[in-house]
Amino acid sequence: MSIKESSEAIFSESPGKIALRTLRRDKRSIISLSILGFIIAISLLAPLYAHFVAHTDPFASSLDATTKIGGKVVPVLQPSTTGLGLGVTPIGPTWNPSSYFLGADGQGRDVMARLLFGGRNTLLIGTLAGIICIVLALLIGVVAGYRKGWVDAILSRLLDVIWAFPVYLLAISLSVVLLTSGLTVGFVHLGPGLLLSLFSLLVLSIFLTLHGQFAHRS
Amino acid sequence: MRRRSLVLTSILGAAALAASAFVGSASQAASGGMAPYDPAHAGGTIKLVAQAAAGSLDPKINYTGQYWELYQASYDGLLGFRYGDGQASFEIVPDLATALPIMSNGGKTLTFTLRSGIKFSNGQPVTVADVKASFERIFKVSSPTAGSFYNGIVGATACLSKPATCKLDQGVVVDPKTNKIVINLVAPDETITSKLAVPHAAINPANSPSKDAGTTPIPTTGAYMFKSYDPNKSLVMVRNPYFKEWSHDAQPQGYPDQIEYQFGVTPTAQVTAVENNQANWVYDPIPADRLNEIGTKYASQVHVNPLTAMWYLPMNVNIAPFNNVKARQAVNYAIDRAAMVKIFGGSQLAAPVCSFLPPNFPGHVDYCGYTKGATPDKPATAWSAPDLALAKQLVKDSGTAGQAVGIVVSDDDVNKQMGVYLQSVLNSIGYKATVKPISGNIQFTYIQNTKNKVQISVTQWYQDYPAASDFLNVLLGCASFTPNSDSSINMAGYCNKSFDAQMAKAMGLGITDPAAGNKLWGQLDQQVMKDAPVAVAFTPKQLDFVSSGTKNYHFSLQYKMFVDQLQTK
Repeated sequence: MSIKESSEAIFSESPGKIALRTLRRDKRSIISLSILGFIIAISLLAPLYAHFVAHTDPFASSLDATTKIGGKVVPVLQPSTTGLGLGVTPIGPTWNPSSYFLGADGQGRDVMARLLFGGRNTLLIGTLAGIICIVLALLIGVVAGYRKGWVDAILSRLLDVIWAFPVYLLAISLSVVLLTSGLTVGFVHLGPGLLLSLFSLLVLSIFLTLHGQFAHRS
Repeated sequence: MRRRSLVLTSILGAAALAASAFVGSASQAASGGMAPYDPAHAGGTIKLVAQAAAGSLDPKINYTGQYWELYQASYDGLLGFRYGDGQASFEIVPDLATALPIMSNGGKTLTFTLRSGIKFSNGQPVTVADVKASFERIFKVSSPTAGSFYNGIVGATACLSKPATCKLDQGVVVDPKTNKIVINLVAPDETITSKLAVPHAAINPANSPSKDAGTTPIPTTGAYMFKSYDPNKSLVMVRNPYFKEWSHDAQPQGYPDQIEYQFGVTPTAQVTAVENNQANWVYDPIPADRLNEIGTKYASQVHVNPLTAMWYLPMNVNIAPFNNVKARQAVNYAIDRAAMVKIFGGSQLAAPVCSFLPPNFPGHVDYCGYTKGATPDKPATAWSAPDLALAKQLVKDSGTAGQAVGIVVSDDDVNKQMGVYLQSVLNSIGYKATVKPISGNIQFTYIQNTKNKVQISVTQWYQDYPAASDFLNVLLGCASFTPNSDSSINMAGYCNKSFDAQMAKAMGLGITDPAAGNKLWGQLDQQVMKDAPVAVAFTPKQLDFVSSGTKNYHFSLQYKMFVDQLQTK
């Protein structure tokens, strides 16, 4: 095959196929993907694990619950028998999937089952956050790219300002501002309501820009 | 009062109460009083740590043990509770008054003489005008106990209806020339001396604001004054420069030069700070997972004292779903009191109860109408187990199943765990429960205000004085229910005129026939729990964990640890 034919063959492949081929060759990616897949799978199977394996309701307090360790029935919250005899201590890992595999929490609940249910929440939050980001980024990017000019300049500078802050610091600051008493800069105080309004205006401006574009094109 | 403590190892008969209230014998003083002041141990700073502040610093407003513990070293009334361990701390002793009151007119008139030469921490002399103004201020600021403790003073009825213009010209008569003070009551009150000894009856300057002073300290008379208060940060007490000890029993000289209360420290960080000698004492209930550690490695620094107190769940009887008695009874049947004891730290620190009056308290009867196999009409002698099946049936019968219920708890570890447990229980009997943890700085007043529409909460009650009225009348009397107010200690909003009338009868019997009075209180306890405005969970013990460098620990039956008597030298 000539060089020309070879390059034609490569360029005739779809981007998806190219990505898949590249992925297959990257062992670290394959391992990471396998771990992620495993986490997703066991998290999605959390209700089945709780019901059929651990035989427990991970959301119900079970302070009087007992379990078997080494053939002996023991309370999952064990009263102290040393010193002044103060406090109760949840049992630690039993390494038995049907009996508090990772131990109990302070409410006598199965930690493993709760961990798996927690994984579902984490995955849900991560996925939703990703989808929201993609949608917003697509929206803003399309508007900026299509309109160009001052719209592009304003949106780009706005994003530059936002990304100039460290991401986690920005997230914490926004949560404080939006959930509590607003933002004070010198003598200017912006309440949470006003900040929300400003955010709404930003969204509205994007919408109107888009609307104007489509109206113009039609 | 919330979070207060008391050691009461035997049932106190009313006669004994009267004796302790009015007369403190020399022998008791010798056995339980404070040792003479030793200047060699004076100085240093006592550091206290808590997750949250306790709201207003105004002694007429604040009703928390967290600050009443500090008030004993700073504010004084005409009478006070004795500084001492054990039973001695129950005794009423003259404080700003020269002696215990002379009772006349069949117990309706109390005559005091104000001590001379005492000054407030701002240098202003204490006068009888301050005394009269202080009693009027109880009503002007709508003190939480205005309607339950001081409503028997002549003129109080008018003051309760029109607080802003309160005048007690007939109720508190003073003579500036002789320093005489005459308090007139509409009827004899067996507990009046106790009521005059608590911080709500402290004497403050006559020019104190006629509203809640909030975070602004009011001048004190005691050994310490408040230097600064920021509920988000700290509270600092320093020596009162005008203080000279006038009564070692009522207001002794303190040891530390400064007492600092730091807020915003989680309970587990509090424990670590005390272990490392970075703080002297932990305020909040210690998380169950740290108890074993301090009970073994630091046992010599742990002090455990029984209390006459309860952890309980007030249910708002005026809004759904708990405006239905079956819903309230269902909660009483459903809660596993032994489980709640475990969350608190185990059987060494608490015991399940379901009666309103705590064990070993005047009027207490061993009974439980809400345990497996019992009913309010046919109670068992003690709680044994929850009855979830009956609870579910009651919820179904009440027609409230499926309703949303918010559980308001303080945001410290133990209270949050209680909330999580209660959420699980309520969900299991048919509700959709959510836990709403809020700062302990405001939770206690938040759950009192009807505007906040709190359905159910987790809170505590510790005796103000050893009489049944301090539980039943204060917490469930109509006079303690003030809609739309943060000072409405009747959190359930329960107001039953017939029950009120019977409580008045019991209080009257307390004077003429104490045994009959206590018997009636016991019956009223069982009677009111048929309506189940609250669910009583357990009676706790007080655990004080102090640093290894902290000496001279003393525990008052009335006010818990004497902070001002702690030594660091």
